[in-house]
Amino acid sequence: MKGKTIVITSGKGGVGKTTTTANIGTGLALRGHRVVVLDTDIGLRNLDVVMGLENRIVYDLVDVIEGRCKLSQAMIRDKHLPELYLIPAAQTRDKNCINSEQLTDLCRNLELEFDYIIIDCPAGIEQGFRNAIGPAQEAIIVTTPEVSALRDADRVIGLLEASELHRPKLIINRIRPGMVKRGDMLDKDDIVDLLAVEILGMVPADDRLITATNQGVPVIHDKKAPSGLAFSRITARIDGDDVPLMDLEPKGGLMDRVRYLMGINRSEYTHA
Amino acid sequence: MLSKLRRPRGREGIGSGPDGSRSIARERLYNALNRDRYDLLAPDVVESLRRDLLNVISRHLEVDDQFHELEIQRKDDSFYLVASVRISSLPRWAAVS
Repeated sequence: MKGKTIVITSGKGGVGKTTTTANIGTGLALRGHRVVVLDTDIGLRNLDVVMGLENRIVYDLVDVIEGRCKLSQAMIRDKHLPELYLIPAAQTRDKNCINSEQLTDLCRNLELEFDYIIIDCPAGIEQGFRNAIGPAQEAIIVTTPEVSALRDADRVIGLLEASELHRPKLIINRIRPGMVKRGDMLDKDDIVDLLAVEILGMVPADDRLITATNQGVPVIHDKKAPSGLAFSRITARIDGDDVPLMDLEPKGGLMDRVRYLMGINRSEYTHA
Repeated sequence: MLSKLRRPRGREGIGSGPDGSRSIARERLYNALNRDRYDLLAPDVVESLRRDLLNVISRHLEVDDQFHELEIQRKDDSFYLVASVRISSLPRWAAVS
């Protein structure tokens, strides 16, 4: 068995990388895979709180790399899924205390035992970014439908291509379908047109994601959350299923809209 | 890396009213990406293009290796590949036709 290492990156901070990492990792585990999510944001770790595992940390990524503990000691088992593990970043160090080769060695080891290793990349394009993309066989870029985030995404695509990570895929996060419909938000077609990149999925802005994150539960566990449904579909695509892109607009009349808001009856969605 | 950047197309239909901020965002993103890609365009891209072009041209014409220019110029919102190559001497048949 040979696992796959995927890096979640963005360039710009605050677009939802960590949330996306947590949900994709959880989604893959929900599909029955053995998964490790790896936080490489050394000094600014957050994947632990998004996963609700912050109180269970004893050892971290840097402890493993510097030999202070065994790999298995730094792996924290998820509360809900026994085949999902987190390796947290160190909080008291900085990005320069590890290098790309060390991280690559670690991931090659993990690939022997796990199906997916999902790396949460720090914001920026400096050493932390270089470290995080080093081990990856595939890259996913998270963006929001804003000029600033998309511009940074374009820059990151160029850097990934230069590092032989070809054809990275894009997740557009925090889409507000009402604003798109009013002509006040960039839509999927604009982004494909200008960035010439494949869209892996679109995630609607969703209050339920915030309430789930408040509780340290990835929103993909919430069957009623539109964002959770979007992450399920994204996860299925990563896992090789042919799932059409969901049009983030409810079709039809009031009842469809209500169903959409309640996140039920997925057959009511139009498919792009 | 050198994926094409196409000028935004005007689009009709839902939501693309003249005052929607989306079209402004689109134009601004287009310009920002163009500007960034222009600034980042690796000099070696231009250099390898120069070599290839001179090779092709010299199959047909006698080129003066010392006098040629090739650059990508920005004019308004568009980009131009501008080449200037001095020809050492014209072949005889070209001079009469």
